[in-house]
Amino acid sequence: MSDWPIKTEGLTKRFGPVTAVKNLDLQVSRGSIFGFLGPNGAGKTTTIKLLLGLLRPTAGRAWVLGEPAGPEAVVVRRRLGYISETQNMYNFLTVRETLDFCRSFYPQWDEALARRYLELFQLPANRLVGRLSKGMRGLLALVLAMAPHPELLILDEPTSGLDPLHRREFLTVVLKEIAADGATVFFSSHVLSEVDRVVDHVAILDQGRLLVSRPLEEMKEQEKRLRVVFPGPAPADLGRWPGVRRVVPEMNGYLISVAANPQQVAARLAAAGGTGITIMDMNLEEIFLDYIEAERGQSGFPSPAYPGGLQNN
Amino acid sequence: MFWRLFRKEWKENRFVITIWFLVIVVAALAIPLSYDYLLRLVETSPILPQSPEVLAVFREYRLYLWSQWFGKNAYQNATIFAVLLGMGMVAGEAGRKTIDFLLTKPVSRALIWAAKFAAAGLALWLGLLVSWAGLLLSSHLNGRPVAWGWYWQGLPGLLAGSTLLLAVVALSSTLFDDRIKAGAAAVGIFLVLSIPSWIPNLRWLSVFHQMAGHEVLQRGQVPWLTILVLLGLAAGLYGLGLAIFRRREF
Repeated sequence: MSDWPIKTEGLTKRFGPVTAVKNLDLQVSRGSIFGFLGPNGAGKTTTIKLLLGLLRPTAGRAWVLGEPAGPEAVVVRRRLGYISETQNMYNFLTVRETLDFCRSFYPQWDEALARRYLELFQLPANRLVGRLSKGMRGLLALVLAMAPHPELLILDEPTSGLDPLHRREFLTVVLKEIAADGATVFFSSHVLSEVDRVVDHVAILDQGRLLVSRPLEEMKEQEKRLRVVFPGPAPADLGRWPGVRRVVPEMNGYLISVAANPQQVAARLAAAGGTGITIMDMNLEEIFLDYIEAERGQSGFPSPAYPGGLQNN
Repeated sequence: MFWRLFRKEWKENRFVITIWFLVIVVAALAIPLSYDYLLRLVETSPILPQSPEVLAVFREYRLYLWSQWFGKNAYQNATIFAVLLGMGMVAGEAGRKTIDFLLTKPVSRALIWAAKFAAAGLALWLGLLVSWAGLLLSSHLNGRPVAWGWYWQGLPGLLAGSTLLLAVVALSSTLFDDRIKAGAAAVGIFLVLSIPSWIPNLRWLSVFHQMAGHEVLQRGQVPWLTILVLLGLAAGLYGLGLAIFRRREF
């Protein structure tokens, strides 16, 4: 179990009639920078809170650094760092006092590293946390998370509200320090441009359901969009072809989202009478939107033949 | 680790603690100093009811001191400040969303709970003890020394009762995300707890009656069994609050 810094099996969380996380099976491999993506309300923060023991699962289980996740997993929390979306800290403590407060919980706290980053980020040690800008607060949260040299860093929308300068500083540090340490980073975000730069594995969540989880490189190689025109009727089972994820009718043809083996799908389309076949690359944002729209049954091109598009989930 | 949490709590509540100390110490110092004035007022005022009981209390200095301190100022202020110190214990952190920051640190909820309760409890106890000493000192400097050997007997009930009230507020604080709601709920419970005070035969059941030291005055000795019961109830509520805090989701 400890090969996976994060592992969940059938993890489910319901709040009354609302299911925030549905039967989530997730494995995060050691040393990866794992992008956990989803639109607002997808269940990202709920999943993170389940991993941290702030919430209890309705069903299923989760392990963090090989130990069952839960409120009493004190020893595990020594080995992980966490930055929340809101970065709420104690406004009545100064930066220095906040560092002192946190240091007392971690035997392995690296004071030299904390000082180094205070200087690098130009964080005023004697200023009250309540008087820091949102950007400075985010950087302080990063220092606090890094100083204990965590094996696992969980970041929940860490750059939301940061200006581009602070965002770049933040991501640079995450990349350089944490990844160079061999630590695992679990990174929730909906700012896809920054995720694209940083992560090596991507999982997409929507409405509590995991839609896909695969290495980013493989995703970009395999996830393609094909454009095809059929002079006659399209194959009725097109949406169920191996590798085909979604078929959306266009004005004079079809846009086909492919999750694997795009060349083989293209060859089969040609064999079935398709013409003008074009294979198009997709960037992470397009892949993300494609998965979300497919999950929600949004084609963008309503058609009597394929209302909502053909899907092969 | 405990002391870091404890110091954080004191710093967080520094304004309430400062006001608590100011109010309770000033009240304690003022009671002996205002004796002559109040006695004259009670004896001569045409407005105040001059019942024999009231006059008897005011004419015997040590009873005056007891009635004004244990019977009024100490327990009333302790009740108010137990609410102010305890209502934010968990509800305050939940409301400000700092609870995530705290609970994701490698520290058990039991230790957090202990530090929070100890910080508020110690502030409450210290305020009562320091002001009690200030009361005796002020009385002494005012030329009316009081035998502290008799006067301490009101303290155990006051401290035990304050601890029970704090435990009620702390428990309430685990149930809400808003400190005002937690405080209001605790005040509601206090009103229920005060009902026996209005029924002569049931007064001994009231925690406020015990805090005011009436039992000591009536029986001439410390009601240790009652105090143990108060502390036992406080411990039970502490444990219940901890159990809820451990189970609670944030």
